[in-house]
Amino acid sequence: MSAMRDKYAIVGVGESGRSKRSGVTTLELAVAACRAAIDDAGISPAEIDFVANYQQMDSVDSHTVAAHLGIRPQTQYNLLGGGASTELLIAQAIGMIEAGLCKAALIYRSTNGRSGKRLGSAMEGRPGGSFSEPYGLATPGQRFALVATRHMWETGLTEDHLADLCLTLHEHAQRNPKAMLYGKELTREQYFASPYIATPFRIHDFCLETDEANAIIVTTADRARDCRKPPVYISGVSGRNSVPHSVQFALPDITEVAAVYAAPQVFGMAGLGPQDIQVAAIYDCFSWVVLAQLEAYGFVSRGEVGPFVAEGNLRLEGRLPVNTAGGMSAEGYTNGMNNLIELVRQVRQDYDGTERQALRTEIGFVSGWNGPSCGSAMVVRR
Amino acid sequence: MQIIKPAPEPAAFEAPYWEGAKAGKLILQRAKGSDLFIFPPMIGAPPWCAGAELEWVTIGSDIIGTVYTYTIIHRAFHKAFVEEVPYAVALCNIAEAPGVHIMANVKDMAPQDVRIGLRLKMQWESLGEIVIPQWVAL
Repeated sequence: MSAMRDKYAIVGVGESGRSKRSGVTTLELAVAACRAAIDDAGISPAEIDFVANYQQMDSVDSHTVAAHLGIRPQTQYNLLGGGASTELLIAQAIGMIEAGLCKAALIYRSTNGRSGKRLGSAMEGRPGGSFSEPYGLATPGQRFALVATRHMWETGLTEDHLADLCLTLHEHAQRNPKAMLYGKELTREQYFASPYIATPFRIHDFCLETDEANAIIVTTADRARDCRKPPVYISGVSGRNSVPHSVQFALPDITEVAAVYAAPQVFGMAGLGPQDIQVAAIYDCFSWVVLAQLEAYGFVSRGEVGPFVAEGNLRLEGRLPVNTAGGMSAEGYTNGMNNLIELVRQVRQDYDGTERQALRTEIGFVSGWNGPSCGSAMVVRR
Repeated sequence: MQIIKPAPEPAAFEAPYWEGAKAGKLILQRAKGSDLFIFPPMIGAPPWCAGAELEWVTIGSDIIGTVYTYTIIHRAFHKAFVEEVPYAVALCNIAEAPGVHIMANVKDMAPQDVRIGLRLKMQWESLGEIVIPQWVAL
């Protein structure tokens, strides 16, 4: 008999109207069904902190549905899948509740499958699209630029600080023969000579695009003891924690990034604080994103990250080495896994005896960023 | 052949906003019992006003916005904007609707002159069936 038996239950069910042509968006259908389930359960929406759905990119995303229900999720995601997805989502929810990462899960499926109103070019698939895309603002770089401009204005960060970050990551890549930009140093002059894409971002503020695959394996600590390499234990995790809306510019404070919510969850679980972290992998799709996360996770106080970077603290020999293989800016790009792989190697001391090994790597930290609105984090140790 | 800019796709629950725009008026949702406004329109109140009912409020036709943040786009990703580069996109606060930021281009002004704190005027632009706000110099 499993220790999990009878440990979890379904407490509410609900549905929207059913027709051949709903005449409304999948968002409206989803909200109706979710409200009915919440009502059926007799709980408050505020008790729900895990929201997931399965779809074939033909439906509204979980974060948007959560926002319209008045829910800020500790985890939200969209599973690309069809049948058997429901049970998978339930199992994942159970796992996260078991781990203490959330308390109550809302799982939905919403579709205009009969009328064939598909997403793709439709604004429905891009939260806030009707109120931003007609103005020529759509891509991540353009959207993050709005957040970065306000954040830099509020905290005194300058473009020189962005340059400092880029130079640090490019320097790390020079020690990594497998980095895309190995042998391609970046100078401050080159940084400032490159054109803007969307202010304040220039070409070098953007990460690479590469063809590659990455993989990791996770198992129990028990099993890990008999594996070939020293285990890198997972001390804490926060998965797709999210700000209170899928539309970042709908927030009264546009600089509120998901990291501020992931931080208490990941450090709480680990029983550690940012001051305990010795080596880090910070998601670096854009230079500014690293600076925003260092602040939001509490590695530095608000307004202090610029000087922190300028003083060289993120370098391999610095107080908090970051993206020591070059990061997504200079090594490669798999939406974050390459940063985690390098972190694992540092924590395990794989580079011991070479110039690539950071000095203190017992406790490491990795962050994931899916826009300012959604973030993940993990604390690891050897 | 002219490449068309992406047009909004109004949803049913957003109707009062779009009807107001057609009439040259800014109509926004407010969380009942508070002075906090919400934008873009929502079906139910967001988490920071959870439990509140939303009501529609007519703000008016003479709208002044203060730039909260902006970016100057130097590389267009949609073909319809290629000829306009560099162009400014600004999010502005509205004094009568705390908590709201409204996005639009900044017309009739050099993009490099846009600053946080700059005051702009809302002007309505017709796309045919749909009308959208824009920001113009005072």
